Amino acid sequence: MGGSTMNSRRKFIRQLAGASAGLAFMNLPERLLAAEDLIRLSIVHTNDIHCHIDPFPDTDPSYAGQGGMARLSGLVKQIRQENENVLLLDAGDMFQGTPYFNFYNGELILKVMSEMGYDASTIGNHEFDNGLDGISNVIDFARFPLISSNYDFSQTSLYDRFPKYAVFHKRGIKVGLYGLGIELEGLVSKKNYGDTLYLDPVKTTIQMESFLKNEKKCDLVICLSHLGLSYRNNKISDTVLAGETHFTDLIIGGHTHTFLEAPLEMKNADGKRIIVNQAGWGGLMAGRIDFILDKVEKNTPIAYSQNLHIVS
Amino acid sequence: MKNSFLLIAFIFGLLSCKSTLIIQDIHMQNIPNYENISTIDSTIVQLVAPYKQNLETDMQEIIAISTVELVKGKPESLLTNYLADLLLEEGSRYAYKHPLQPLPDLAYLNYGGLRTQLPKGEITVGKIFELMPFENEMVLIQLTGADLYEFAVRLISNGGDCVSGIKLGIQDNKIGTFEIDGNPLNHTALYWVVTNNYVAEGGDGMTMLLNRKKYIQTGIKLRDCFIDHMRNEYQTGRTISPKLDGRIYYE
Repeated sequence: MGGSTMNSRRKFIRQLAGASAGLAFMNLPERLLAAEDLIRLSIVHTNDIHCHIDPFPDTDPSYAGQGGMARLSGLVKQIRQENENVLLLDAGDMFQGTPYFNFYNGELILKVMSEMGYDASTIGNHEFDNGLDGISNVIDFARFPLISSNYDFSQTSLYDRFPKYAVFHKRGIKVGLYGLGIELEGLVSKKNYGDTLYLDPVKTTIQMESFLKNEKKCDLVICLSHLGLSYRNNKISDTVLAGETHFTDLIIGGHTHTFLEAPLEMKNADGKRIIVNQAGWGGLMAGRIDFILDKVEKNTPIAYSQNLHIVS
Repeated sequence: MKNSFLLIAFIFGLLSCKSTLIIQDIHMQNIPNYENISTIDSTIVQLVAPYKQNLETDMQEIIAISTVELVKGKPESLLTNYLADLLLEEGSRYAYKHPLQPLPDLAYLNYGGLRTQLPKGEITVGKIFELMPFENEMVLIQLTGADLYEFAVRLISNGGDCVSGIKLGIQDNKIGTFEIDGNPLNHTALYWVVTNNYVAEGGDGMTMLLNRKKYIQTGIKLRDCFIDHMRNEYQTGRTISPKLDGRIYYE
């Protein structure tokens, strides 16, 4: 096991990547990956869908005709056709934003997301808009978990409804997920969150990521965060959190409705790479992160990566 | 025996090898969801269709008849007067039931938050959604007369606004007459204002509202409150016919 093996492997991936452009860049043939003992996991993610089930109306000054869950679902199906190893994730604020919420209280958006095959989401501040009962009344329409690690619901009627973490087995890759919510005081009406307690997201992260990596032996650790990408003051955010982590590979964010042209590569507490991403809002964008993992090699990971944005 | 032990150790080694996968590469992109990015998933369209149809029916429900077109304008207008008066009434209704009895002296909605006008004749639920697309909550805040003076300065620099409970004369872009509930403003007195959480948090330049002494979140969604109010009036056979009353005027 020398550097030459690693170099040829790196070269192999580069050649594959270089051989195609645009969307096709992601379409590394599975059999070629398999021949090299590589497994791919595609993470597709959204945030702040805010019940934008239909495309934005033609009268919308900014996003006329864009978005829509049926088209997003088509995209997810297309990605699943290329690579069956997909995790479809969301970072909260599925509720509130169109009359679909005012009239159906989250029922329809959760049904749509379930039909699309979402694997997990987390709890955004707008999930509380109809109070704890409002969550309780519709939560069963979600056929996926809402993972929450730093809201303590133990004193509420929702005490057993949200897992603190989840572990997915994706063709031999063990993926650990934890979820972070934003501070509710001052943002959400007290009567809507009741006795829900907000726990420090950094402390929670340190515990959860270590637990998932060291005890649950996850190959990848992903954080679903509704903290927001970054703030001018020192309020906790995804970019601040990234620098405090040790074992998290990816933070999928929300809340600030940030359209990132490409995912961000940052450094964690140990100077290692961590990806931070957010995909706008309203189903107007999807993030896609493909991890290619090596079954054999034990050397340090290749630092090579490439950000690619579709120019249409 | 020794060999089989080695074999087991070897297999175990292989298995543990598998459990430590290494990230070799990451490919990533953010994909805008529009035009030809993918085909439409008909399963989702079919799932949504009955909800969409019901929603459209609900949005067409008539909840008011107006004898006039409710035009939006400054310094006052039929639309802004009607809405602010309605809010003052609903704020009072809430206050009577509250232990603090925070009876509002005035009601305020930010002019910029009103996104359309209301037609003469039938007004539908959908129209109120167009008028108020934002998710705001009714709140009550307690302010000093001095804060309300600053508030009035802002109303004047706005050239008028959506307000009820006051009489405000504009003299050379400054405050002339300023009465609340028929009495001149007392700078040291305390007043209750019913408004939305957006301006109560200092939105639209209303930073003086952050000086509040007390803050009551009602949990009542403003749009729901307006729709319910209008529907009740309609069901008792009343029509809408607001008037201009010179609540904000040029002296």
